[in-house]
Amino acid sequence: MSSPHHFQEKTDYSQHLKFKNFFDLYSAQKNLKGNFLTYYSPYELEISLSYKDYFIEVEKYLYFLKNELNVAKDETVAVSTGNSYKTLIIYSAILLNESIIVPINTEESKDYTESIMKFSGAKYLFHFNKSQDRNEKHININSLQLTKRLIPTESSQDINSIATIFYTSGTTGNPKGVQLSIGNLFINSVATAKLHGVTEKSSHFTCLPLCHVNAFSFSYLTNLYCGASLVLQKMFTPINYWKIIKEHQVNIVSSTPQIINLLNSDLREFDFQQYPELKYFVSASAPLSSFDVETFFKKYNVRINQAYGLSETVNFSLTIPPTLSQETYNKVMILNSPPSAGSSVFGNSVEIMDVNSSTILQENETGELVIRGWNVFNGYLDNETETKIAFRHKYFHTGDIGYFKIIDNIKFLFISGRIKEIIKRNGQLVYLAEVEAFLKARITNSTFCVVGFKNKFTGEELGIVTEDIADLKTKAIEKILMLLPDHKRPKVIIQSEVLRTSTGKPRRLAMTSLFSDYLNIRIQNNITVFTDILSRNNS
Amino acid sequence: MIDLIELRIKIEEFVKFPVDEDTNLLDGALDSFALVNLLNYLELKSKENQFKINFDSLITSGRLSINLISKHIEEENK
Repeated sequence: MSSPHHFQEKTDYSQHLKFKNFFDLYSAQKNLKGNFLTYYSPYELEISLSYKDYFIEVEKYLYFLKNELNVAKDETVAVSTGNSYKTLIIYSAILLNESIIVPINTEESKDYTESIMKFSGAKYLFHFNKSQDRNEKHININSLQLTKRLIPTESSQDINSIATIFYTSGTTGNPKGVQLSIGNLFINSVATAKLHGVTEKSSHFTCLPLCHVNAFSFSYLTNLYCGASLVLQKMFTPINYWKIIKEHQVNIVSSTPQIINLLNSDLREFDFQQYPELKYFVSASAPLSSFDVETFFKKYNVRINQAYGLSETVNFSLTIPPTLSQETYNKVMILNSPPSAGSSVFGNSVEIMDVNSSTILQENETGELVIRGWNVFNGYLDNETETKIAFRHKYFHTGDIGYFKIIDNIKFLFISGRIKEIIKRNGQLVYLAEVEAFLKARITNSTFCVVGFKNKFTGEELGIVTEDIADLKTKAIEKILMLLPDHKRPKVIIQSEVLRTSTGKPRRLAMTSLFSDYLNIRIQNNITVFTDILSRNNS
Repeated sequence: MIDLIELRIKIEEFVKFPVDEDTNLLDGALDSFALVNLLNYLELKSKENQFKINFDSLITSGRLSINLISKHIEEENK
């Protein structure tokens, strides 16, 4: 494990933290009277755990980790158990053991999961997939019958101790391990709690994946930190979504543009008076459109506050302040297109930097969003090259392009594009060059290029432009595409000229318009759509 | 109140494969998009044919099938 990189001069923020480590949090919260976790799987209520009952389960896993698996302080443990109440119990047990969580999406391939385990040095993998049972490093959570508990009495963990490593796409094809300290995580929870007024009486609802930093920080850790209630659903379903919000008197719902789109298309009548506790939705992971925001507000009489963040900044660096007047809200979220990504949250500052001169830009000038603050990570695990690329001129560089405007005395940030050749599909960053390199290593008989394009349902999608569509319309190519995890798999293949610069580099942005027909179409995960632009134009 | 043959045709249109009266539509058959389409279809039919559907009690045991939808509508409109 490499030591954390301190590229920024961080001032001491410990005075803002109620807890100095996870043991402090455990000691304070384990006797709270309220409910911590309610879990729907996804149609039925499977379990409801008070803070006391939750931490009893955590103590069982702690015993298992420490005494049966011999996992020590600062060792890494991979968790690929999906959205389940057990995932949150394991997360807390790992943190209480002063070890490091490596969350992995259950949709990832076996090879990818193995490579993440190797990169992170994970001692074990918690999973629920029977096919992985033969490996002694793989622990199937559904086979565990834990009874013995370990009640910890002290901790030497400080706020700089690494608590999680989230893996994100890398420019060279290898994933990058984002190291977050317990201090990074806690200070972002403090910022989130301040912004949303989270208290022991608050009730929060999410169905977003716990392997992503959004649900990890906003939904799991912030509510645990504040003693609030969390309602977790295994996955989104319109069937009981509003019923859950009503029954658990939810105040804040964490969602995405994809969910907002589905709720907007639901024709059933809605009586907002039945939801007196509901304050607003927060949407992140992909950009919302002004149309979606306005449609949602007209239908449900509920605001959507957009938020923006990356794994490298724990979670939200920007959020639309919930206290805005209706007039200001309309100006930034409905009348401005695109809607604002929000204002800087406590503990970090977001600026716009000129890409060439690296100077900080002024209002309405377009440049790269750069961030510094207490929530900014300590560097990529064992990857000096990528860390140096990310930290330049005393800021973390996001790769997103935008500008800011002062509206009613508040600085609002707007995101207009991306500097790197990356797309964000359902909140997951995908490097186009990485996918193209993967395919070109396996498909040698065709000229093609991987392109990103906007899609209303997922934010962005991947497509392929090829000059020889017949070469790609084969079972063998279909099998190669299926080797890629869902979020990295191109869904549309278009026959057209592959545009290149004079030096031969693909002009991906110029080819994006070829996919404009797919903006409002939901593209199914397991289907590849072939479109012959040449013959369509000729006909 | 609701034409079960038409309902089945509609559901098969949403899920893009054949279903029978007892197929549990929540067992992976319907994704969120198809579920919204089904709910919208039931909402429109209930208005068109003036029958009641209580969406909050339509699913009680993690199951949803053509037969269960039919029984629910019968119970709600006795």
